[in-house]
Amino acid sequence: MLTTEDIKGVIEKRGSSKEHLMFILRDLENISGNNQLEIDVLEKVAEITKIPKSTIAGFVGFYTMFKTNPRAPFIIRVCKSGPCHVMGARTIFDAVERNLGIKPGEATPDGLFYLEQCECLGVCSVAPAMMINYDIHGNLTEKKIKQILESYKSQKAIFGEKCGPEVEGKACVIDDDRQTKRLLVMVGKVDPLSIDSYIKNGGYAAIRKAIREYSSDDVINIVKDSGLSGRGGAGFPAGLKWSFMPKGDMQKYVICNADEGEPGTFKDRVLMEENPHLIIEGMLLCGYATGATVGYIYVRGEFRRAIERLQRAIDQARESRMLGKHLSGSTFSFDIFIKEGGGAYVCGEESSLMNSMEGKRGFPRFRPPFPAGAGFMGMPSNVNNVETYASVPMIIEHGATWYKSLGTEKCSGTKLYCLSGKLNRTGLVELPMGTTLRELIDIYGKGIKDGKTFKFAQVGGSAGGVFGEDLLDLPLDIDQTIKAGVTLGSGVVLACDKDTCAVDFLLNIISFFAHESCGQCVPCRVGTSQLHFLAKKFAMRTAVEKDIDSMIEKAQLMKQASLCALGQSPILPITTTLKYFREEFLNHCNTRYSCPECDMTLERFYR
Amino acid sequence: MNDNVTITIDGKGISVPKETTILAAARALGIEIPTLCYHPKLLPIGSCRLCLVEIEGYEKPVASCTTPVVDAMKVTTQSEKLLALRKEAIQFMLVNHPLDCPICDKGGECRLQDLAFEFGLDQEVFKIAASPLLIDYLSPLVERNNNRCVRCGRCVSVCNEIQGEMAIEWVNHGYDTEILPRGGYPLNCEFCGQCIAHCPVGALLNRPFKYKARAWELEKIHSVCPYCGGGCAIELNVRKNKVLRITSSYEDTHNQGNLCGRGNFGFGFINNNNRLHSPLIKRRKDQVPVTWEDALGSASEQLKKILKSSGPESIAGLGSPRVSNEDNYLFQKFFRAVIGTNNIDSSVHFNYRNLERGLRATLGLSASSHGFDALEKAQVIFVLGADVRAESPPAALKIMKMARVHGSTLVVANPRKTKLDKFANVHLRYRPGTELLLVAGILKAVGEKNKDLLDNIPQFPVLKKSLEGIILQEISEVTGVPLEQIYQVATILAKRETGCIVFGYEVFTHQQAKEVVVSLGNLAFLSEKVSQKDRGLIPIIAKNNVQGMLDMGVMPDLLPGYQQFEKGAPFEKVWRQPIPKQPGKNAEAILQGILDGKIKALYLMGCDPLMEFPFPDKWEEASDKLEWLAVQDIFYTEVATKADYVFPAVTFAEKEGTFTSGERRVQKFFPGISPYRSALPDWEIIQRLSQLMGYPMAYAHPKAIMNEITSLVPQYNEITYERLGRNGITLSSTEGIPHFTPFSINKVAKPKPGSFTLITGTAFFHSGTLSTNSGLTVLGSKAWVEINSEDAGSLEIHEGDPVTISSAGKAISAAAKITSAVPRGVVFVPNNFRDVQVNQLVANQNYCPVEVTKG
Ligand SMILES: Cc1cc2nc3c(=O)[nH]c(=O)nc-3n(C[C@H](O)[C@H](O)[C@H](O)COP(=O)(O)O)c2cc1C
Ligand code: SF4
Ligand code: SF4
Ligand code: SF4
Ligand code: SF4
Ligand code: FES
Repeated sequence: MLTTEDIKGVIEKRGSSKEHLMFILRDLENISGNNQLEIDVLEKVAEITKIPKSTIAGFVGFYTMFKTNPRAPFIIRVCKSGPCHVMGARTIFDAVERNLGIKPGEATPDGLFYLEQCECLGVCSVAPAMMINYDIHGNLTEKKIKQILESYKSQKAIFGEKCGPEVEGKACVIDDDRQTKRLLVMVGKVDPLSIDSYIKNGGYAAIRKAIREYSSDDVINIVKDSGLSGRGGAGFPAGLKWSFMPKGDMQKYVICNADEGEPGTFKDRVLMEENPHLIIEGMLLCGYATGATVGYIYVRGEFRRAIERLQRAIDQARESRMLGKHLSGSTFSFDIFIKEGGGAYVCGEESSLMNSMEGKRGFPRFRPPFPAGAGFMGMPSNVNNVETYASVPMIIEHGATWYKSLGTEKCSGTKLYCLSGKLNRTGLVELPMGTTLRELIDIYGKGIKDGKTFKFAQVGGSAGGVFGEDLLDLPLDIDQTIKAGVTLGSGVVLACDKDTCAVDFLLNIISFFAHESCGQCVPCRVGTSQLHFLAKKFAMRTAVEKDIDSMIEKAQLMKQASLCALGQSPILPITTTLKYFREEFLNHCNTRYSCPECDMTLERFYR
Repeated sequence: MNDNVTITIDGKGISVPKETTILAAARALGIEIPTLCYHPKLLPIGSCRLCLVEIEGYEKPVASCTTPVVDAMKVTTQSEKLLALRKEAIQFMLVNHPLDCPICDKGGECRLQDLAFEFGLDQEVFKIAASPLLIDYLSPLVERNNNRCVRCGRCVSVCNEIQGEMAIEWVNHGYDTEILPRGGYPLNCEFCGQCIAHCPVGALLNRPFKYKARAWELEKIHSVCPYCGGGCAIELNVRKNKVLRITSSYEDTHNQGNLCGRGNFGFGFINNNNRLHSPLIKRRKDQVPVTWEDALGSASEQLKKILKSSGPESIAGLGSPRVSNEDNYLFQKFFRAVIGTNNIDSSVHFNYRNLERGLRATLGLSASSHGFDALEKAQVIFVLGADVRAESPPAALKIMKMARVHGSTLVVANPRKTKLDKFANVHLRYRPGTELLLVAGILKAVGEKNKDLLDNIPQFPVLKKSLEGIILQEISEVTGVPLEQIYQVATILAKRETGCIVFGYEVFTHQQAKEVVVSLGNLAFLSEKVSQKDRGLIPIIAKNNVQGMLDMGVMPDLLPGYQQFEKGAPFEKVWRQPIPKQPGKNAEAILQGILDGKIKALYLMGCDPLMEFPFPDKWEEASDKLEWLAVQDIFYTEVATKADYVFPAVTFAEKEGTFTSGERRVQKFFPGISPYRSALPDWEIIQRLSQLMGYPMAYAHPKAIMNEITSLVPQYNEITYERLGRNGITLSSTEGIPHFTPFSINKVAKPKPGSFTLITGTAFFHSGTLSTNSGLTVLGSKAWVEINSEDAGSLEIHEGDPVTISSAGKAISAAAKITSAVPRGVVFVPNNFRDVQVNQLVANQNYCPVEVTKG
């Protein structure tokens, strides 16, 4: 049991206003010894911080990483999202259960481990994966699991620098010279722990150049000219977004969306772990261009190493006067702070992200007002993805024309594609915008694993669509995918072979949405659950043909009526899956139809 | 600059201000868009998605309740597609909905039921395997059934935005999202009932009302809440001659449908079986039920005898701030015209009576300078000595809203923590009884710091003398308020922004209450808080008809309308009777008169000196001495046990009449049910007694009494009974010109270290006889002692321990509530509880030095 002194100490360190709630609770959970936020502790927090109890209860209840019931010193979270699912997550649960004799939601008799399910951990190239406290382990096999669990038995729970994915970011980049590395060029070369190394490699030249040579409008215009579009999923032109920020000397914010929760995505993590200063520099440029003086990086709570490295980079940048007041002797001042997530996919949605930053439940906000009008704390804010910011320094350094020299007509530059699933080689590749799925699979993925045949690929993450063979040669940029009725999204390429069951796959996607819906608006809260129910019927082989139309109808309504893009998303995976595999769905309407994949899923998650 | 934009909705053009939502614009055009989560007084929520509309050039429909208009927007509100979407959205709400309409209390007034009907959906569409949610049967007054909840979020918004209570919150996410009380069940909040009133479906139920009636069986009668001076407009929900529920509608009430817990749940006294149902006469030792004829016949005979033998000055009466204007008017008329004495007063003598004195002296006002509307424009609000939430919730709602939503500066000064503290920019915690010093200090500080401001106010020197002897350092020491804070408040007020000064019970019960009001008047004048429409000096009045009773002349020294006796000619003309020109005895003098044997007869209307007045033991002695004691009330009160005559009166719900609220809003109320057994309206009892006393009175209806009032009371000249609409009429109170007025300050000694001061005040759920006999007692019927945790520590008192508080040989005892709401050296005991008579100690103030011991 934590003492009042412990609680006071944490609050003193983190600050007592609501926006620090995530930190306060995470610290308290860590020092609790069994990863628990006891009700009494929360009441104390409410009393000391004067944050209403109801607000704290609502907050804790929203974020999946927090629990008020006792857990254990080590929480094992096994990922069940798409890439891990395809790569055998279900067997991993079995293995862990066999090893420890516990089911999700239970603690081992020795009180050491506690098992949970979770969604994507951002290490999809090494799927299947699990996280123990904040250590992420990939490429799991039964044998490996045994070793890992054994090793924890003699350890103390730690928190901080040492935590993180066991496969480092740089090791996730596919080793292939045919890439056109711009964002990744320094990955593995630059020492992420040293600002000197970054500067020696040409870092912070772009911001210096901008301050020296360009007005803020110039910077916006260059970014506009470059054709850089958002890399977080929606693909909105970055320069245009920046130009929406009002002029004037009100408090403005630059926010970096590092929530990276889209199953299959791990590009932002690699950039943050391997070249944190690049992101800082990109944000500085945005701050300079928009007149913002404060930046926030909202990193998902699971990414310990990224958080630690970014924090270290920020500290160093402050020391080296790359952050702070009157930078490079100019009138431009800028500083950056980190905010953390609590295990909610929807917090990657920009308005939900800002609510989360304010210490509230991650409910998306309706628009207007847009972030540029009223964002974080009601002030003008610009939100971009990590990869988007990381692309800016090179644009300023080398110019818009240079940047446009790669990519397609409408979408310039390079894109980080995240390869996962049944490929001989998985990982991160940087290629010009508009690279085709065929190239990605055949050349960089070295083809489908174990000589099996390609069935489909999911491109763009859960919110993305399913690609059949007909789309193998579609250039994967923002524009042309939309025209083809699909999306590039965040750059996920999850390849599946003939062994994958389309029904089981869709059920997995939909269960993800049902789990991640924020629950605020009726169409999505009820709709995702209803879709989940329908998809499950197919897996159980109790569906009827009409349920196919039902699913489409519901998803269509959600697309039209939901408050935010999460509820608007399920339609795409549903219609694209059905486009190719309607037959398979119909087969599943037969109670006698045999489908081991579905059986396994039902046995695992729905028994 | 023109900030209007022009848009087209369903082909009709309209020009509206920029911030307007599409929904509001459509409604202005008379176009109906279905909504569920939207409520005009709440910030848009956007959860139900029913109000979707299409906009030309937009890819997807948008929610009209959250989307502001943009110039040249072309909106379609009705189309096949929208209809289908809305239908689907309602289907979604019906998923897993129990659809137990026939046994759901909301049936007949449920938005979901209506929508399902309107859109032609008549059966449950879908089920998702989910275990039923816990139904909260544990919380008092509110029953929560989340199985019926459509997660619109209105209850959370109302609790947060309007009530400032933040007692419930969204929890979990995804399908499991639900609304739960903070800290789980049972609900622990201020039980305003607002969440129930704003729930569109049957997820939140009014427990006392549960299974009592179907919505369509209820008749709704316009009335006025009988509790505080806020005067909320309510509806009595009546079936089979029983009031089953209280509601208030947003659309047509000045309180926008907001009610507090007393208003919502405190009506149980109406249908209470302990009500007095028959007149009683004391025969030898026992009181026996008799007919009205016998009771009034005997009472009048005896009274006539006393009148004859001892003269009119041997008779006195005490009126009530709980009964109507008409009742009070007739009551004082009875004394002045029938008996021929001015011996008439009320409990208000000890507190609110000083309001008019102070206001008139400095600002030339006879009541609040403004209605509560002024609060809604205030950039600065200074609250002194009031627990506004407990004393008059509607004012508190407005103040909270200004502070939280509109960013107004709120300064709260009180000897103990009140709900408003949470929203205040500055809070001053002064020692009990030092209000006058504090205000004088602030005045002085304004003077010191703002020489140039004062140069522009020629009359200011008038005040100089009052402030001469004041040394701020000393003020700070005696009041306990740091010097910087005094200057801080002075600076805020000296800015002369639009704003209000609000004051309450602590001021009215101050030893020098009138002087405090004068000093506040000066402060208001100085900081320009009264000169314009949007600036006010606003008293907070905790009982519903204090203002009306005073206006009606229930006081020994002035005639109705605060008119001097010399100006009594119009009264004599209408009353056809000379009226005594000598001021009568006030409540204290009446008590003394009885004890001295000079007063032999006492007529009590709706008041119980044994419970509500200072010196209850002396009153007890006095009531035994009286030759003639008549008690007219709805309940058999303490003092009724000693009465020679008991007259059963009806409640506000059984009669018609008017009340005048603290903001001087005169409102009509109507009978919802017929009188309880033999009970009669107060005015009718007085009228019958008068007739038997030989003075003719023949008012057929309260309207006739009000007509007489409007002809004789100048302040009421502007109204006629007929013209009083749903929200009544707020009367102006200006009768003179504001000017600086000198005031004198008595010395207040600094308390000795280690000593205790007892303070008392209104407990939110409790305000005397009415609440004691209503459903509110489920929330507790015992008084308590609030004591600071450090004091409790040093006295080794634990939560719930009995604590004895004594002063001048008298003692009370109650259970300890350990808190930080009172500062060290102060204990708080709520007044008006039967079990603990705090009046015994504090006498006619609301504080006194005491000793505190455990046990
Ligand atoms: C449910 C949901 C989740 C999202 N998650 C992320 C995310 O993890 N990272 C991200 O950068 N953008 C995410 N987005 C997109 C953001 O809302 C936003 O468009 C993006 O951060 C803007 O940056 P960009 O313009 O640089 O892409 C998400 C959107 C939705 C609807
Ligand atoms: S669409 Fe889903 S995630 Fe988005 S606001 Fe609605 S419930 Fe929340
Ligand atoms: S009764 Fe009032 S205070 Fe209590 S939860 Fe409902 S709205 Fe909030
Ligand atoms: S309880 Fe009622 S008001 Fe509250 S969210 Fe549910 S349906 Fe809406
Ligand atoms: S605020 Fe006052 S008038 Fe309104 S409901 Fe409550 S007690 Fe009655
Ligand atoms: S009324 Fe607009 S979303 Fe509910």
